Amino acid sequence: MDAVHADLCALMIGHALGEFPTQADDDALLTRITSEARSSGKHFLVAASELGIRCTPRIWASFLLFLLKDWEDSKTREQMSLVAQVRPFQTSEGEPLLNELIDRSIAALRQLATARDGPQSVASAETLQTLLDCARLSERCGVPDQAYDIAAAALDAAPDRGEVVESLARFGIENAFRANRLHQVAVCRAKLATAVAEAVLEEPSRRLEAFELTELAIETLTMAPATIRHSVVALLLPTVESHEYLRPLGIQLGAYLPLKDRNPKYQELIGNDVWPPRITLERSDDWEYSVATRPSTAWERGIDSLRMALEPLPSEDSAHVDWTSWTIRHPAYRRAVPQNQSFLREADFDNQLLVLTHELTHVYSYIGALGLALTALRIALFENELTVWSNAVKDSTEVERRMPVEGIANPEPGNAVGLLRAEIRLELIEKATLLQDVWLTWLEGLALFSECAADPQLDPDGISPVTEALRGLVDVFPKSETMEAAFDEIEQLYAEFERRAHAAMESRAPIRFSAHMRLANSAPYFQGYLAVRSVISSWERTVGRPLTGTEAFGLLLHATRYGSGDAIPDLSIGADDFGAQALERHSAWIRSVASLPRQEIEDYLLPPEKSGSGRMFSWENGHLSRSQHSEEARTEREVAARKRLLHEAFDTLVEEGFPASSSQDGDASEWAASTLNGVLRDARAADESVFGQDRALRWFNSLLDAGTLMPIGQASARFHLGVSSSKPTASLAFHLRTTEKLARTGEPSGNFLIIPLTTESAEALQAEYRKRLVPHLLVTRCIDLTAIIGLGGPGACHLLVITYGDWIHVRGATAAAEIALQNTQHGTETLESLIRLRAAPNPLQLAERTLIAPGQLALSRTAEWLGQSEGWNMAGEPIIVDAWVSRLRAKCGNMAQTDRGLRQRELAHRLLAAIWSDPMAAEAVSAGFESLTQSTPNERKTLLRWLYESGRHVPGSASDPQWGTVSARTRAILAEERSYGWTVRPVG
Amino acid sequence: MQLIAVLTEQNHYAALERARQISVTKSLPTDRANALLSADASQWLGEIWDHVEIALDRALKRGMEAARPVLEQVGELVDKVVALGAAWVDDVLTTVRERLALYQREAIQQALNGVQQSVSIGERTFEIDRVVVAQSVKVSASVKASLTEVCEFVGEGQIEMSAEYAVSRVPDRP
Repeated sequence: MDAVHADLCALMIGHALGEFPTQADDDALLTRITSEARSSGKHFLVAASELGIRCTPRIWASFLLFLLKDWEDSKTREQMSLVAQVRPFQTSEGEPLLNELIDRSIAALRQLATARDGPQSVASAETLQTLLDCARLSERCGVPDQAYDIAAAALDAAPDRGEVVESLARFGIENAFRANRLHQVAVCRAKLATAVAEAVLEEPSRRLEAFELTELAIETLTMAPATIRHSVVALLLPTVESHEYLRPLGIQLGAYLPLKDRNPKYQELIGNDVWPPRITLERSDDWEYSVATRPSTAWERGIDSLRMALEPLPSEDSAHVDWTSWTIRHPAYRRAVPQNQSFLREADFDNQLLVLTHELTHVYSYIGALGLALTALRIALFENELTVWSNAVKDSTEVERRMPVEGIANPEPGNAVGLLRAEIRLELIEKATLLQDVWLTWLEGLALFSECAADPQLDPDGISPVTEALRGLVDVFPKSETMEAAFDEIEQLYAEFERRAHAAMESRAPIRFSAHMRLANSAPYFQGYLAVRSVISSWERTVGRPLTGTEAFGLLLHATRYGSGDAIPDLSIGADDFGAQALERHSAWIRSVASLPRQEIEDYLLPPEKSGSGRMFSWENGHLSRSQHSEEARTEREVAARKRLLHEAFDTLVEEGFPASSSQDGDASEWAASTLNGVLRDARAADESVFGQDRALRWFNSLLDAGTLMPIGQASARFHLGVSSSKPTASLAFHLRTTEKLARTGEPSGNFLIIPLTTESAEALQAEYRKRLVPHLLVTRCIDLTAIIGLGGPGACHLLVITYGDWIHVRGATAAAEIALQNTQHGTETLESLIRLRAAPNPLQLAERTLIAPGQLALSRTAEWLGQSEGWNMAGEPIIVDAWVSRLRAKCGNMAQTDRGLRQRELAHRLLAAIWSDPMAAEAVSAGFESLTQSTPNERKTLLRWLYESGRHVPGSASDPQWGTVSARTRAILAEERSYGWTVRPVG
Repeated sequence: MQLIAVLTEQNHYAALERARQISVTKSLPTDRANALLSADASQWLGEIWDHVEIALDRALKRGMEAARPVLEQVGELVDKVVALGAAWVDDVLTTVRERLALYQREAIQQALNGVQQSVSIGERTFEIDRVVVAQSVKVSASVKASLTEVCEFVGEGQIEMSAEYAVSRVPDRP
């Protein structure tokens, strides 16, 4: 067997080399060498050497082909060892890739010769790896078909499993897809699935991978010709049958066998059903009914569930939103998409609603001044990294290839020019994290207040954007025939949602509130809640009455989003001053918000007219008023603010004047200083050219707009597409998982959806399917948080985004949302690109979001680069920049070692000290709720109840009868007595 | 030398502060904004632990007998939480026991910190060399039993120990 495989592999290498014939110059040399070899009877290589001729790669290829003609002859094969020994002394110039191919071909032929005649197996990992190298190089040399043949021959010889076997199969799949040879894809996918399934015996954690690869291999069978299909089924069947977790896939696989060969057990499950193709080209009139009801569809749903059951689910204690993507991560929505009424039927609806309320409040809080500042810093960081990449890697295609994978590049070790970019990098990251840490106290306080106090039933006239967005998770499909009746139906559903939200608050909010207040080693929830309540308390004192939680929350969120521009420091200032300024401005802003005049508060709280056109409020110099500006004027101001923030972020370090900082260190010579000055000027010019092109601003706008299209829930789903030349639209059918746990059953639930597609869209999906042959598409629900699309009926527009590779289809989650989508002012292309950026980013966008923006990778890579660099140079000239380097190393060390949790709690302490003007009280609450009450643990329950109830302030509710038991000390620290009862101490 | 180290309120609070660091919740990531997914375990831990602190406080300030009614309440709370049969119940009870064990260790450590490090007799100074604490407390699998043990220890208000001092230096002759 080895001989057959070795010969086949050698033959395929020969085919590849045969694609590189000698050229005119080569021919002349070749003639001289062969004449000399013939006349002297010397070996070809010896003759070439004696003639002083350096063989070109093509002469080498020709020589190897000559040897391969007599490959059957053992003497020829014996020569391969000699050739391999001589090759290092007879290297060839020009065509570097071909040279590499020659090197690897010689190595492969030597190994094949040894394997054929000796004890070594062709299937050894070393030989297979060499053959894989040959295949890869052949492809890079522009002969992909021959590359595939080498890989296929190697795969034929390969054992069932092994790392290199998997690599060969993966190479074969990619290569075959590029050549659109789907039968080759089928074979290689089957090989890969088998190899990984075998590997699972030793690596159980790869079960999911094996399952998915087997799914893919089976999927490809539809597109393979019958002869190939039978051999692939024969290859896969034993694997599927012998692994219990793969057996459910056997039904689909068995459907490709003749009826007589099918497993009778499977037959019982799906009868004689033929597995429907993913794409039905001439769908019948009853295709939708058929696809929804046939046994194979139910089985596919089961396969989706089995795949999900194999996914490892991390144990998590929290849901969260990250500062970069503004996306809620919640385990219930990691692979389920709320649809129709499913949200109301969640088993843990009460908890989930409150958690989502909390996290969505964070997202809304970011969509404002804070989010603008963080995004400006994020863009400046990305542009800085692009500059580092373009300096480090001159080939732009190389940058495009590596940046999405590696994220962060470093200059050559010792390149002093890179120090400036490294320092800008560190400064931008530090400022972003400082801003986050300063604001965290307030944001957590606001989010806790939102979930525990902003009861929608307390506000008969309005609705907070948070509740509105969550209410929209319940899709409304009115059944009534008249408009009036339909509105009644919608009103009833909304009332039902508010009732459920109220009930959730009643049952779960007190428990969740207590749990968060007691967290002492996490984010400063307790201190944040006190800060928020202090502001409300100030407002209540001003207006002379208690505010309901809902009233207060509306104004708090508005102030946080639209009134906090002055709380953001100049983004260009150095990180050393930035933290202090951020805290000072943040606390000044809170004090300013707390001191709103009565008229402004009352005006905002005035219920809007039912049939009115709505009101718009704006903040100017700390005052809130009905906006008098036209939409154009508002847009102009917004654009100006964005430009200013971008300029500030880009001016990080550049504006400060770099040479000053280096000469302060006293180690940069005059020459170095002037050279670095040039670097500074270049950097500034580069930044200005960015502004000149408006690229950064456009991206800024895209990120902000995309940021408001918030994904909530994502699931993969097996699909079927039915098209017909005689029908105007195609139909896309898929089963969507809608809950992880349904209240009624305790099991996951789903809906079967059939949606119409235009013929063009269906054709695009078909084309993409042929490029991928994956049975599932990805469905994501997005909420248009700021109505950039328009209103989806009475509330926020909810979208279902369906993606499959490069194909995308966006539709409204309801008929009203679909109408809004059709009528949006944004062009379809713009909207799709925004949605893609958010829900299905391309690799570079994903790298920016996950590798660059968070900063940790940049920090570690910078430290690594500084550590690698010993001497420093600029344009090859040595330069002394030791003090600068030391400063950067220290900065890296400090940033890496900063305990952010501790810093956040310290900042919370300083914030309360600043807004209360009472350092003793701030100190007393600084270590948390339980520490505050360490000598009076018996009052904790009463205090928590009071803090919770007095925040909601349900009109007519009795004050807590046990309040009198709270110690005078605790009262003095936390509370103030008003005519309507005790409340949290106000700001001031 | 037989010594007595008094467990002061300050020692008691410092030990409680340390004990409360043990949480039923994993530490939450600090680079994002979190919300607890489930609060039940934290809520029950808080409820039980408040009573534990009340019992310890009473035992320290008013003696074991004053703490007994609260011990009963703790027992009732534990019975209630066990009856829930939820997956997190064991985590709550384990956390309470771990907190009690840490509290006790810290309380002893805090009290020992107050023991005189050296004694001078005449011209000679003796440094502390070895301490043997007479009391021993077992934290068992039962929350109530563990708490009772620790309360009895705290109710004593003092720690008996034997300390040995050794000559560390002889002053130079004038």
